[in-house]
Amino acid sequence: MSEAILEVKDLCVTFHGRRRDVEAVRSCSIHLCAGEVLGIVGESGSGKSQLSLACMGLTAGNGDVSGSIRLAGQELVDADKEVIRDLRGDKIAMIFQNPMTALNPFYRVGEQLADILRVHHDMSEQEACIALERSFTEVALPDPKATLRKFPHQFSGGQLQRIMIALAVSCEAEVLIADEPTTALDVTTQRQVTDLLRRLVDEHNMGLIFITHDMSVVAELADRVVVMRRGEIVEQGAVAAVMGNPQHEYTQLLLASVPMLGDHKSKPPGTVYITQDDRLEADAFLEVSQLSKFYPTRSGVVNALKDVDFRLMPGECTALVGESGSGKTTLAMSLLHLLQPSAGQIFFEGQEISGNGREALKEARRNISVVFQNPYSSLNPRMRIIDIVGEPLRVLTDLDRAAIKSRVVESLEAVDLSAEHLRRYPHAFSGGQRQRIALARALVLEPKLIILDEPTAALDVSVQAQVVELLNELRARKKVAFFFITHDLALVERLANRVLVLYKGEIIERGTVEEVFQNPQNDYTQKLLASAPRFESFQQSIHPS
Amino acid sequence: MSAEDQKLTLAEYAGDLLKHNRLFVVGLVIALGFFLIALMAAWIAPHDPLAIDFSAKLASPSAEHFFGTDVLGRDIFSRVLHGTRTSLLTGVLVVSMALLIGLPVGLVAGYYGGRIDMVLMRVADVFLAFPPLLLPIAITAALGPSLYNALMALAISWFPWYARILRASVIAVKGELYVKSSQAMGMHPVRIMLKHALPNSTTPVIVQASMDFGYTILAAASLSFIGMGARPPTIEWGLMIASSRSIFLEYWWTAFFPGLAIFVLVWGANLLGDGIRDLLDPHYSDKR
Repeated sequence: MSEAILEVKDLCVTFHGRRRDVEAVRSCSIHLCAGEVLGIVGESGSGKSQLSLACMGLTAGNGDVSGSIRLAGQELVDADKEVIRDLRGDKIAMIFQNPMTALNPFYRVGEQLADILRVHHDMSEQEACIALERSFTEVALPDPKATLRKFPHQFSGGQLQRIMIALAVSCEAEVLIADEPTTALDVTTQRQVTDLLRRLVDEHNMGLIFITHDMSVVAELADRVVVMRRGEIVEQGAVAAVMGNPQHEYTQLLLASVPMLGDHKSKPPGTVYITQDDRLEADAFLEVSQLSKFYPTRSGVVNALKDVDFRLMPGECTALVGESGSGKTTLAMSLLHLLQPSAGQIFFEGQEISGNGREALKEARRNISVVFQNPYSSLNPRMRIIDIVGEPLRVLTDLDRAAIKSRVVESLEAVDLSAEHLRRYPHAFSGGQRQRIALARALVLEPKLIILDEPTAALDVSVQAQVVELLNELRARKKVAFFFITHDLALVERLANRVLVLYKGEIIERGTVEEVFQNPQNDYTQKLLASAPRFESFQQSIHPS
Repeated sequence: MSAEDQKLTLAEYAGDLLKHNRLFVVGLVIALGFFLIALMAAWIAPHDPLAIDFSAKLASPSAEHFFGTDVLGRDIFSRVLHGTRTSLLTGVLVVSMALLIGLPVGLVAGYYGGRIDMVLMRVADVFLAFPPLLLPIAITAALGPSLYNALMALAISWFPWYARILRASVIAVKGELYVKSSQAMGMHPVRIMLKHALPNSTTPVIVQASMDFGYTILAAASLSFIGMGARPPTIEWGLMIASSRSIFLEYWWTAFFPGLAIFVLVWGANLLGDGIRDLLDPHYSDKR
């Protein structure tokens, strides 16, 4: 292999807090060669982002960097700010997790990007535009000429990420750092972006540092991998070696937690019936019929939902799969009666709740609860856990304080928390624990249905796996039905019995998970399944024969 | 960061304040000082502030009369001490009355949005459309000049600021999932507003209110100065300056000491307000 273009030795990044210092990166050494993809894997707080920011000279003001970073023979630690600024956008470039915020919405795409090229490469405006057009073509953006004149909001997330990649390409950067570049994108788009990155690395002989929490992406994309935890490198080496034969137990844990299609590590419990009679009747307790939601816009009507109908069976987990903008959240909001549908009905145990039947609605609310995606926003920071979890009881029942407390404790214990947490505030808990608290709040009324809106999306993979297990166990024990909204097919396989595929506001495929996953009928479902990480191909990439 | 890291003992906290936020401590000392003076004015004042003594009229500052005497021979030092009560009361009353009107308006407008928001905010805009002191002058002129009418008038012209600030942060909090989650439970809107929306959006209002404390004292003194506020025999700094209008070129102490008192109190209140902002709203504070 050729000589290293980026070499990091004994890098430490320390942040000086008011109370104590935090060592974000502790003597880490990595190297990157031209034409190579280095994957850095770790969970939140592992220091993977701080490591890469230090390479860009972008460590925040209260951080100290020590050690050595050599880029193409030039030392970056303690180098002049001018020197580093010249290197950025020239030899080294970075793309970020959220492409929506990486571009200034005030300027046209062409103006912003051409500026960077003019500064670093002494190009004229015209030369810069030509260079950009060429790279837009290379990253397969439709109509490169028009792209220059458009504003950032006119592009989708995947397109914006391509634009950022195109910028790095036209800068002829030798090192590209990509910090979770696909996390904010839909699955089908994710696959396109990683494929594109791999192609560019090969064609331009770039070095790519790919930071992610997702082992399956690394397995497919990277040549070498670095596993980080709490600021330290726990394991590094060639992908096949590290993943095929992980030495460190943390690497093993990470590998075991990756959700992939077809690994059958955990299976959802079957339909759990409440009594024998239910089995005989097997009646749907929630029925949605011809549900539609339109939003009038200046250029006509947007159909967020179009004639959606389905039934939910008691004790079953039904997954709703779709990409962003497919109407998943609109549907959930309608079920929760937070949005008034434009047409159609929702029946709960035979009673219509979409109209204005107050009593029926109250009864339904007692039986349908919700867990949202982001546990950092779903708990009121000014309330104690006992009040947060007990709130549904106070609002919807006439229980006294003592009864509420005992129900809250019961509910907390069901999610593996305990009574000692009652008096604490949400900030004292981690993301996984917060999601458990949100789940305890959803359980406290002993509802018949819990709507789970991407409940694991904001969590680290190892925590995700725990939450998935907890959910399966709860469903079996509490005999509650789940309506599970997600974009992650691997999770569907682990959690759900039935699946609905939503595309542009319409349900295009439905059935049991086995039927749909083994034999998808619709084009879109097939594409979706093809882009999900698969256990077999993962095995293949780490055990090349 | 875990909970343990954020807990500071009181002593550490005070030490932190002294180290990073000295001006806040200065403001706090000034405000506390005036507060004590206001409480104990009757005991620490060497003379009766209302006692007229023509034999000692317009005496210059001396050991007997620290700040001299006014045109009626009243002791200015004692009058300044007693005037502290009026000024502090002014600040507290105006700000709290303005909050009392502004907070519900902002909360309802922000939470419900739409037409309700539109109506409430346009009404608030009407009050904001007048130049700052003109509206209180007009209102007091209509109600008849007295200290309490002036305070009422100030509060009425002040409340739209609080309404607007609270409305803006309520709109932000409304998008949080814990609000959605309470709505999904079918919680009563009033309860959601009081339990979820209000507690999580008061910080900017508290900051603004603490900064306004000084301005309202200044505004009340100005109203008194032009004869639209306190009336004799109420002891008020602005009024004291007004009564020395024709003579202060020769007898400077008649205007200087009440003026100094206004300056120190308002300056202290502003420092206090700045400090509270730094404490509650780290976005604005300088990098440490």
